[in-house]
Amino acid sequence: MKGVGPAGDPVGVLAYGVYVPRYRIDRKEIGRHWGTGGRGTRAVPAADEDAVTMAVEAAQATLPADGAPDLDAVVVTSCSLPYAEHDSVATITQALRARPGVETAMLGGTPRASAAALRLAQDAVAGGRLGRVLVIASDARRAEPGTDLEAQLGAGAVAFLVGRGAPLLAFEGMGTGGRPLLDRWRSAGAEGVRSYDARFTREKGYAQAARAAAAGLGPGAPASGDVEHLACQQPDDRAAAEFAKAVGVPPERAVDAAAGLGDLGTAGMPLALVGALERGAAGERVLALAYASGVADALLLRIARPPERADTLGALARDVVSLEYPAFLRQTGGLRAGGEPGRAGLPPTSPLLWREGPDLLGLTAARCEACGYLNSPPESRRICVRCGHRTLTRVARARRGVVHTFGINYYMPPPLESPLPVIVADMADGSRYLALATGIPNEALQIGLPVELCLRVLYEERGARVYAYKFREDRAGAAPAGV
Amino acid sequence: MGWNRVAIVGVGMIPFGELFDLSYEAMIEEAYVRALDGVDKGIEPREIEAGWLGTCRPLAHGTETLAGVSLAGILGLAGIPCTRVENGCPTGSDAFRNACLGVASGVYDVALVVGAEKMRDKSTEESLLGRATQGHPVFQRGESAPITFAPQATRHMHEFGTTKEQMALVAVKNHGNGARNPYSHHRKPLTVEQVLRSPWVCYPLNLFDCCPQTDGAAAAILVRADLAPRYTERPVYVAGFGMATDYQYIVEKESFTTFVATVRAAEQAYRMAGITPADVGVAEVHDCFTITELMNYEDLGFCAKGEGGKLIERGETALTGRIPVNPSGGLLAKGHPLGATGVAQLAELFWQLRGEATGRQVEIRTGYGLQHNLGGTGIANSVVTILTTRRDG
Repeated sequence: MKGVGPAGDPVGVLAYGVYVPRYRIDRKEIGRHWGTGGRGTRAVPAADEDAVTMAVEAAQATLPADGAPDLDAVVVTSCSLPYAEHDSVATITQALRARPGVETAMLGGTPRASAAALRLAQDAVAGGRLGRVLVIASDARRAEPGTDLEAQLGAGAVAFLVGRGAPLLAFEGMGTGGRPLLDRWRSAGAEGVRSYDARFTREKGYAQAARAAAAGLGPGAPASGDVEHLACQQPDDRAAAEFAKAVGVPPERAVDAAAGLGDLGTAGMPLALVGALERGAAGERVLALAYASGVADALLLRIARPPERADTLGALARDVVSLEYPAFLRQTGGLRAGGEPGRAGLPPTSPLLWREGPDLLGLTAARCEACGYLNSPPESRRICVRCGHRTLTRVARARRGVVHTFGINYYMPPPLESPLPVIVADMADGSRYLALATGIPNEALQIGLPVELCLRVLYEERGARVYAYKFREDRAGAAPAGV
Repeated sequence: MGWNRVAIVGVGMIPFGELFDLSYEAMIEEAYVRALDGVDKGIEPREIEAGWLGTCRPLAHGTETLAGVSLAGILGLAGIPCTRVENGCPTGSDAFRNACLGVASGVYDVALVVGAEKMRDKSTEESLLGRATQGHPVFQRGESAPITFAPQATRHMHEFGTTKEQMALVAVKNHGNGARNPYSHHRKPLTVEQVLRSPWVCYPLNLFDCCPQTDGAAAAILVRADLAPRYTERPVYVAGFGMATDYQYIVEKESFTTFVATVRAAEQAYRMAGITPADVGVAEVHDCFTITELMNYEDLGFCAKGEGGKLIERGETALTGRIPVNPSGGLLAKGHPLGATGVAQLAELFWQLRGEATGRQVEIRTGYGLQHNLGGTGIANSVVTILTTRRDG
């Protein structure tokens, strides 16, 4: 849908969504095992989450429940997509039920990529070629056990719907600058991010890059000291203060989005931007800075329509589950069960998954026009199993329901891990759905428990991932934020 | 009046267990020879005109070859028609049902049915549990046998107040019966406490709520009813049978507190036999898990829906009860070698109805025995067979 809204309307962020895993680990708990210190906590992905599943969560929180039929493009930024070569965005667009012709792009390799994606989206919409562009920044970066970054890197995702209309945030200017240096890197094939001396990085990286980027906004831009909010990507806990000092913004105007969560990579600056939007007032300006490797991008935005009573950062601090170090290692891949893993016997990109993949990821069913029963999977259900009727319509399944019954497997062959709960739920659309549970403590499982389907990594075989929906607890008040 | 067009004239089975010393073929041979020897007036192998072999998971468990040649080809019967049947847990009883149809059709006068399964030639992870990583890559991921039944138990407990203790009583009863049966895999009585304290396998099922993994084989020789006197003065007739299905995946089930396939198969069998549940004097039912037996009581009409727990509490299904269920020890104690199970249940009823079940013989009051299996993906297959010693049913 090209040119949504009159051509004169401002281009900006029309909607947003945030997803950060509930798990936190105290840096002291990590330090305890390595004889080091640490302050605060970092966010930790569940074992079955990755940058793709978090991107889907953030996007689902951004878009209306019926999906994204009017999206023209989806741009995903990440430094930690599960594949070095394979289109992870295709998995995301299928899960979002985007139209088949939707344009996609991946920008990665640097945490600055989210600024570049927002710039490109703004240009494409302002130029009239695209109407609505979904920009998703998602990262679950890893660092080797015992390194400083192990305690520093967090995980999370933010999505922005960019288009013309009545935006929440309007774009006013952009700039970039800095002098490249090598402060953090992950070489091809390596799993963990490495870092160089933190003091050198702060002294020679942050300040000059932030000043150069702000200067790049051009002569028409306000003196950066005049902006009401600074929203920056935070490679470490002191970065926000350093950036504020460098560009002459009083430190209290800097949003601390990394507090409790850690460095969210490409999602760091976007989350700070959400924080600025939610605490700001109409007409106020935000300077957003995305920094990496000695270079920064600056975006100048104006708050046009602040959301009412939204407090995403506060919610993320409240709704948490604390981990001990062994669980943290298990969830981040540092501790893996041995044994001979059973094989699905299907190559992960088998014809079966090719046929059914769009329906499995899009969570669609074949609704019987005679009796209303929702048949799954639609590719294999051309006749209603309940009544034999042969006119079926593809519809989206409800994602929320309550537990009808369940069982908990205590003995599963590898690569499955026990205990493994399986839930049958009565869904909001009147159907039943069966799926594995994720993140629900055994003692909390009971008939009647509200649950919600979320996309997760079901398993990995031959280095390829199969994604599917699992049930998690539906904590309505604490669900991913979004406007 | 019952159907009674086919009679069983001899049965045989090998003691079930972890038979590391016996191959799949050796188990079949032994069960077959015992069935021949079990024919009162004797039978010549050349009289057998057709064979049906029940094996549920060939290759998943051992070295079984494909097709029915595994039967005729190893028993010196090469040449006769042989069909291998696979139909989930009712595999053995469905092989029997198909043999009945073959004999009743008039095409064959004498048929052999063998059920056999080798489950312990592969490790637990590779055999039954291996299913959890096979099947539909999404809809059946993590699906083991226990996880298909556990949700029924959870729901049954929720809706009817069925208790873990009532479920444990099923294990106690069947292990007690198994202790009296030389063919049983497990031969030690259990207490309720032992069942409740055994490790979780799949909540709400503990270890002794689940049947073991067992090797075994059983055989039966069927003849046209009017020819039975040639072989024995005491044939056991097939009064009726039923086979019914439900949906492919358990999530498609309309109810988690009833197995519709069982209800439908039982309706067919009762109608064919011309009896009601009250006429059943002894039953061998599919107790793959304790909850399954309680639900079977209800689905087979031995009690009202939701009353299964109370039926066992009252001792009505004990060896000396109103309707003894699983005098052999059932799947829980005797074992559940998939393809062999149904044929072994029929063998047990043959012995019970003829008063030959030494050590575990029930009082034969009605002359009717009921056999039942349930299973398959979606727990969607059920076979019910009704046997009788009454010629005119």
